[in-house]
Amino acid sequence: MIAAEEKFSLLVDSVRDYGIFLIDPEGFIVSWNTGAERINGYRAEEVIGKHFSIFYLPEDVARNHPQNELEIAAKEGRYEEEGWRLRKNGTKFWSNVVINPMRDKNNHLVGFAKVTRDLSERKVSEERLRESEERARKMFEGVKDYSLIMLNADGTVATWNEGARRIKGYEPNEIIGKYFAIFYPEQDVQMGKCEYELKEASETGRFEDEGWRVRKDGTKFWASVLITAIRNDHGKVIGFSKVTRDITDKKRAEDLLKMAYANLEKRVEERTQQLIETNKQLQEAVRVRDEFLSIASHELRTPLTPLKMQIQSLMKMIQKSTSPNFNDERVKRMSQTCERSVSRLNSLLDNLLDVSRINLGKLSLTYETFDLVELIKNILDRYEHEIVSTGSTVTLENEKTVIGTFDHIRLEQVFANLLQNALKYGSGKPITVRIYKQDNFAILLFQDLGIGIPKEEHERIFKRFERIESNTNIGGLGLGLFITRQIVEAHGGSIAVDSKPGMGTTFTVRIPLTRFSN
Amino acid sequence: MGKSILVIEDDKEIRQTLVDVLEDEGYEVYSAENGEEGLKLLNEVSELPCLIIVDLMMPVLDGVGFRKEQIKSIKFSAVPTVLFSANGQISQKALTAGYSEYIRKPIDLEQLFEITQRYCG
Repeated sequence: MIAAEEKFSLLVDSVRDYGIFLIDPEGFIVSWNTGAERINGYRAEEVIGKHFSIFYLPEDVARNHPQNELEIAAKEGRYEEEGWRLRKNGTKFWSNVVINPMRDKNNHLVGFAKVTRDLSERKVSEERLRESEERARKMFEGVKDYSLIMLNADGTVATWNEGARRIKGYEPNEIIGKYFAIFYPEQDVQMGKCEYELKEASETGRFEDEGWRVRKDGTKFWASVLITAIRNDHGKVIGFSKVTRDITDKKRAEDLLKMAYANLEKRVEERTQQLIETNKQLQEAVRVRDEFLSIASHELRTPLTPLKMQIQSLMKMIQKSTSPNFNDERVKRMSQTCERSVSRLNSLLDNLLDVSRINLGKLSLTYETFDLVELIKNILDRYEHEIVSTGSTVTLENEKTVIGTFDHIRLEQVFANLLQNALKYGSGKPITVRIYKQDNFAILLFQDLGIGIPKEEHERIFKRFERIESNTNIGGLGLGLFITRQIVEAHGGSIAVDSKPGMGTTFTVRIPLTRFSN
Repeated sequence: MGKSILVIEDDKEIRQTLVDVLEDEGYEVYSAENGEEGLKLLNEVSELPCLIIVDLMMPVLDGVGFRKEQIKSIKFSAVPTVLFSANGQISQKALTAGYSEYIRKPIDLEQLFEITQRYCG
């Protein structure tokens, strides 16, 4: 029996992780083990006989806590607590204390057994965990720009943070416990989007989406959403975390950017087309210019040809003045040809100068009052030789006088030009010139029965350097009708053409009788 | 072949001047206003000319068209024919139309007479 008690005593003494000691009914220490020495820092000889209150904080001693513990233990058979205790060196440790009363056969209290465990390490890690959870919770709650919420496994809202409140507008008490479909547009809800998202998150771990979501006030916002499944240790889904950002501004900026980009692309395309078109026009302008230069050089050489031959012939005759060909008739023809050739050159150069004046906007008119009928008659007289040589006849149908205020030289040019055209393209058939007044306008018609002009050419003939393609074998710079129209329009008038191929052509000129000013 | 020359030219001044200066040199000269009239004249004359001078650009039938018609006839195609034009591309036009020689307007009388003498003496 004694041997057994001794063994037990040795066992108690050798326990290192628990401080096990006995105290008498008054609280004085009577035994001490290795664990108590390790935890409290006192050796047995230092502590036996001392009151156990030396292990308590002064404030606990002051409120008589050690004694109270003993009284409770005695009364209830057990006392347990966790609390701060003092080591020999004065440092605190967090301990678990169990006090059991010890009674003899007569139920008489003989002392207490006290078991102490040092829980400092556990306490510290618990404290850390608690703090870290607190921090996490505060951080979580405090995030303003993100809605960070937890959903229960069934999709009802479990937690709510400041960001969620800001973005979605609900107070925590309004939303916790509600099914999360409340954040989705009606159409998405009907299509089962909410269930699909949770299913996807459960199966793959996460679900990510951008789309429209609904605020408490019914307005929509463009959201970036990430749902992550949360599993317990057994892998069962116990809920979801849901992170939502309001990226309406970003979406709007992106949409604007897309629109701007599309618009830019469209404009680049349009501009490119314009440039292609302009390039075509420029190429055409270059072609027209080159063609004109070729025509102009041909036209200028034509009168130079007889002029040069006649002059050389004359020089030859002068050298051999006895030549029988050197007679009056021949000399007369020579001088006439020379004169006409020079006139032709002069008129060509005048036309070129007119075009250059018109291009520079320097076509100015000198107004005087005169009778247009008289002008027409003069021109017909002057061109009599040419009229006869074409075989045409010209009939003038006129009012007695058509008096108005015009530029004499310029209108002479207009009428001569229209007459020359009628002669050139009139195929030797009769030509009619008609002149009369209508309202406050002078009307002039030049009508031939010649080759005519196809409808599609009616506008082009009034342009610079243009002549009808099929008539390239008929001479001319292609400037006459251009200059004619410019002069008529400078007078505030208009010129129109009526023609069919093979049926002849009528040009109608309308000029105001009084001076035009714009 | 005799000493006659055919001039086909639509410009009245040039045509008349050619007639004058060639006649001054003692040639008999026929003239026509276009290729068609020229062909008509060739058919009418009793004796073919020793030389034909043809303008390029003419209404009705131009120098190219005239040459095409001329060489269809063995008789006419034997007559030396020169193209006469102020056209900038006369050398090429002459080549494609089948002319062996061309004269560029305006011409020196000396150059003209060199050609007439070469073909007509």
